[in-house]
Amino acid sequence: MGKLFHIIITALICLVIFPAAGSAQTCCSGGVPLSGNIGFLGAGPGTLQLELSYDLNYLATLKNGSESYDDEYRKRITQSLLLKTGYSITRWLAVDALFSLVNQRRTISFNEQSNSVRTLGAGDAVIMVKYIFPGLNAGGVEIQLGAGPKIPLGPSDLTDDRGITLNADLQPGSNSWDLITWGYFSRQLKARPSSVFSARIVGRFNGTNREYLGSQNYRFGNTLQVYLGIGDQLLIGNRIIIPSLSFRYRHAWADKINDLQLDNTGGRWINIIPAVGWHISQSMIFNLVPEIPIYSKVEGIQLAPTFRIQAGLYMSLGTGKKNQLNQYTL
Amino acid sequence: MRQIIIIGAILLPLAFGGCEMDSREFSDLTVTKSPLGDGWLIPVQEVFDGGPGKDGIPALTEPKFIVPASFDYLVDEDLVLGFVVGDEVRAYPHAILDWHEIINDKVEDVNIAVTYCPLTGTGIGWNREINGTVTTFGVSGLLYNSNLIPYDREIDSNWSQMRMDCVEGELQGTKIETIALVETTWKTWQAMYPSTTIVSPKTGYDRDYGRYPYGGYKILDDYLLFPVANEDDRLPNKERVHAVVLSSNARIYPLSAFGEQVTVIQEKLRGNDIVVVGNGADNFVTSYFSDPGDGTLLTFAPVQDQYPVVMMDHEECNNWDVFGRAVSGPRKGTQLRHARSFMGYWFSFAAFYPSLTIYGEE
Repeated sequence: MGKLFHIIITALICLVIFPAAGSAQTCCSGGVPLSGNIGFLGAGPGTLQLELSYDLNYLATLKNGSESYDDEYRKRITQSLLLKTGYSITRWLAVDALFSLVNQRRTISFNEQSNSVRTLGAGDAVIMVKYIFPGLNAGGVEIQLGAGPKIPLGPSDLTDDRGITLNADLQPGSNSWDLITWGYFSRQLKARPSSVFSARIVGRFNGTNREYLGSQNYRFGNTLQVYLGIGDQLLIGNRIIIPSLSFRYRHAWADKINDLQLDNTGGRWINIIPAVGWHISQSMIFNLVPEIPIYSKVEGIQLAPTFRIQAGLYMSLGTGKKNQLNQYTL
Repeated sequence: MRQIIIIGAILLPLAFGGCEMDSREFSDLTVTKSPLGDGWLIPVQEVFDGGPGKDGIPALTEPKFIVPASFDYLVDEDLVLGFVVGDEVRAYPHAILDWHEIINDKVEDVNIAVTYCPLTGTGIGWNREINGTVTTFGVSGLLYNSNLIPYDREIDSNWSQMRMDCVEGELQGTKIETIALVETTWKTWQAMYPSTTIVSPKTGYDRDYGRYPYGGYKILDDYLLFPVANEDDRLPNKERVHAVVLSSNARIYPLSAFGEQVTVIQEKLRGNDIVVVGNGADNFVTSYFSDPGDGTLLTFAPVQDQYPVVMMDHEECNNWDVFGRAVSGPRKGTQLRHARSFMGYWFSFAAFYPSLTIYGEE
């Protein structure tokens, strides 16, 4: 088991630091997946939950409103290494934190030539305090509410090797303090107690970067995400497998520059997320979470996600009750 | 847990590791090398990545042209950049250039790059033959003072559209030879040249040319996407003006200064006699050196309702068209030298030429 653990961890790190030399514009949906990843399920007091995951967001679909253009010579790939931690202080109070390392690549293939720009750096972080409604477990119900800041740890003024400042979409950090709000609800199905229906809502209220390109004000648009999903636990051989199917609705409002709405930003997306988790041990789960857009309508013209995939290793430590599910799979 | 801490310790230094990359005008080919020592003639800290990346906005090369009856993506008030050589009359609409910014074309024996920056509203014709070599220009994805930086595909040097010179690379300091274009509305252009052809919307790229991709940018004065070096509130930022650039200075003629008739302005600028002709209602301004090349100083009067003829000289009664060509009279066939001049948004000229003066302000 220890060997498998090392292999997975090493692979996740290598994927971000040394990305595949794939073929490699900008939009509001290509950023680092912070708000969508914060928040563990509740665990008993004294439980430390950890997850290290690799997230690949592949954008190669040029859209005008809901229409896709036949134009695939632009690609943008955001790869993130996410370290998520959560500690349950009491039965009803927990703190989660999320740290990121971000590798972004923009590639244009034109006239059989290819130009790429890549940035690598620590991304922003999120810390969230959660309230877990007590006394609901007996009914198979879990409700949590949380809120916290997104802390601008990542650089937002990286330059290329000529000293030219790259635009906001290629920066690992946003240089703004944002507020994340989070709500979670789940309920075991009476007919099949191993199955759980869950709903999650995440709001992100963004602050302003007052040093964008030196002197400008830039504010990424606020976002609202709603997840609805159902998951189960199956015993296959001697392994517990956790399949799940979720849908994600994401609404991003337009970015603003110097308080004026920026064209070609914002939009609505609906993605389907067929995920699966494998119990490696009683306290460790490997999650594989692909995400495929099934509907999107962007404002103006934008490069939109073609697909997304996340692979993560979850573990829980400590004396508290161990959760066998996490929000990826639900 | 210990393993995770070790990994974190390895990652942090790497995480902060930064990033890695992968009618023609006179020509002055004086080469000036970077005074800043960083390989750029302009302050590199004022050069910004526009977002789409190099060639992320795809320039067109020798696109198809069609007759006006066969398309529907323009309305009368849409702006075009017009070019005439011999019997060939071509219109390059903003509606196409908003999406491609550069059109590399060959008309008769002229290798022209029609360069247009949607953010500064500047359209300038460039000669693609540089030091005897014909090149094509692409969109570098970089901006200086919010203005297009084309790159030449032959040498891979970066150029400034509004400075009209090479600002980085092997050709640094080389000035581009400009080619006269007339910017006006589609309606006026057709009135001037009914035989015109126009760039086909079948460019090979899937784009909605009937849609302006920058939203309210053209009309919102405070809406600038990138920092500019010098802000000047003497005119509204997005007011369209005509600029005559001489050396590193500019003289500004607001379109609004021209009335509803063809108007001629003659001035001496930095020792040069310049004639500026325009019509505010018909939405064009263009300018030439008044000397036809033999030392004669001509004085001009406007001509109404005879497009493309826009002026007549008092001395010899030649009729001159909007491209500064004598089309009748004793000098028929003579070409006035095109002043290094073009239309654009006011803010952009204030940024590039901070000591500029405005016609009518004195």
